[in-house]
Formats: sequence, C-alpha cells, structure tokens
Amino acid sequence: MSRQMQIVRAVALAADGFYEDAKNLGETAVDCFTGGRRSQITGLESLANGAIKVSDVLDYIKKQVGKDTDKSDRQSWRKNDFGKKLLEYLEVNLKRQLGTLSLSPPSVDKAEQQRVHLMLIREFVRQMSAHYEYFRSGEMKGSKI
Amino acid sequence: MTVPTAAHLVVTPDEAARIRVLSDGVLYEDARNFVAKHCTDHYPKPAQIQGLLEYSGDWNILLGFVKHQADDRDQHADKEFYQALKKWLNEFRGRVQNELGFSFGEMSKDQLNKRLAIFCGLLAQDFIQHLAAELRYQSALNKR
Repeated sequence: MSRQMQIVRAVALAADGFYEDAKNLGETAVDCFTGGRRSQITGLESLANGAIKVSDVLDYIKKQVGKDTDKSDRQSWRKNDFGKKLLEYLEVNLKRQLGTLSLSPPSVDKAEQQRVHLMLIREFVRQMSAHYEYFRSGEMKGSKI
Repeated sequence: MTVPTAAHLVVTPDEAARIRVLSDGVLYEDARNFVAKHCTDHYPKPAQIQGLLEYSGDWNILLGFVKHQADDRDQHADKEFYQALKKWLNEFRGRVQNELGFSFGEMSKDQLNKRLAIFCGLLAQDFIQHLAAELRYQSALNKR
C-alpha cells in the first residue's frame, strides 16, 4: 500500500474514533449559531478545506472568538466555551492522535505530520458540521442517533 | 545577452514547505508565549493590531513601523508592547540566519541581506498573524 493510501486509511480510522466528540461539539454549536449565524460553521468548513497550515484554522477560530460581543445573549463563538473547546480539540487532541495513527514506518517528517494533522482537522470539522446541520434541523435534537 | 540569475531571491518549494512547518510550530508557539509574557496587564487596541497586520507584508517596513512605535518620544499605552516586539524582531533575524535550517551558502553581503529579508519577511508575516489572532483571542477571554 502506498504511503498516501496508508495515510488516508489511518485518517479514516481515526475519524471513526472521534465521531462522538464531533457529535457533541456539533450539538453545542446549534445553541451558539442560530438563525443567520449558520454561515459561521459553513465558513469554518470552507476555511479548513482550503487551509495550507494548521495555524490557518486555529488563527481563524481565535479571531472569531475575539470578534464576539461581550453581551452574553448575542455571543456565538464564546457561548458555552464553544470556540475554546473546539480550538483545544483541534490543536491538542488531534495532534496527540497523530502519534497513534497506524502508519508504517511512523511519521517523523514534520511536513507530513503537518499535512496529516490538517487532514484530521478537516475530517473533524466536516463531521461536526454534519452533526450541527442534523441537530439544527430540529428533527432529532436531543435524541440518540 | 545572458540574464543574471538571482537564485538568492528565489524561495524553493522545499523552503516554502519549511516556512509552513515553522509557522505552525515555532512561530505559533512564539506568538502565544509573546502574548503570555508581554501582555499580562494590557492588550493593544484593535487598531494597533490592524496596523501591524497591514505593515507585516514587508520585513523592512514592518521593522520601521515597530521601531517607530517603540521609540516614539511620547508615552503611549502600547509602548512596552512595541519595545518587546522590536527586540523579538531584531533577534529573529539572527535566528533565521543561524537556527531555523535555511541555507545561505556562498553569497555577497548584499545578496545575504536580501535573502534574509525575504525569509524574515515571510516568517514574520506569519508570526504577526499568529500574534494578532492570539491577542484578539486572549483579549476576548480576559476582558479587562
């Protein structure tokens, strides 16, 4: 199996492992981004898909948190610590997962690690966005999948 | 007539990849540490952050702007921030030349300065972007 195929497979397997976490954050996001704020999630997904560095995504989240108003009833990224939780997950948890991926030989090249970390981020954001849309539709909000 | 090559002005694909890795690793951490160390009592205003971002596209212009703000004879609220940033930028040039893994090989002093300005500019632009994001983030989380 080629290295690229190994990576794609390893990322897909890791993605199955963070399904519940993506679901939880997607559900949290429903409370944060109501009405016309849906574009915040679609915007994040677009940005992650076009990013060439991990920090492109992390900086974007920080800026969005920074733009939030102080008025609690008008907050989105800061509401329920959504931005902070998402930032920590993408930065810390997914980076940790890099070391557990089933790659042979293990990834030691920094550029490859960066590329795989970005792939994990894209996959997590894609899952979270799907859960957000699902819960947002209201049909199954609060029920178990 | 042969056109003189300007290899010292070219950033190779490998060097561009190295810059991206440094941006995510060293520079991202540097920006976070900078804010934690130098912005404990006060965060620069959004207009100052915007100014930094606007000047960050060119190494020499960025240096000039930061030096101007740091050495301003009038006292202003962000002076200490700019003095720390000026120090960081001055030291950064040496790090790019000696520590961050770029090759400078045999070249004249003028060529070396131009090549350093290119790498410093690209890296410092990313550092300023990380710094701006971190400042906005910490400022929002720790409203004072």
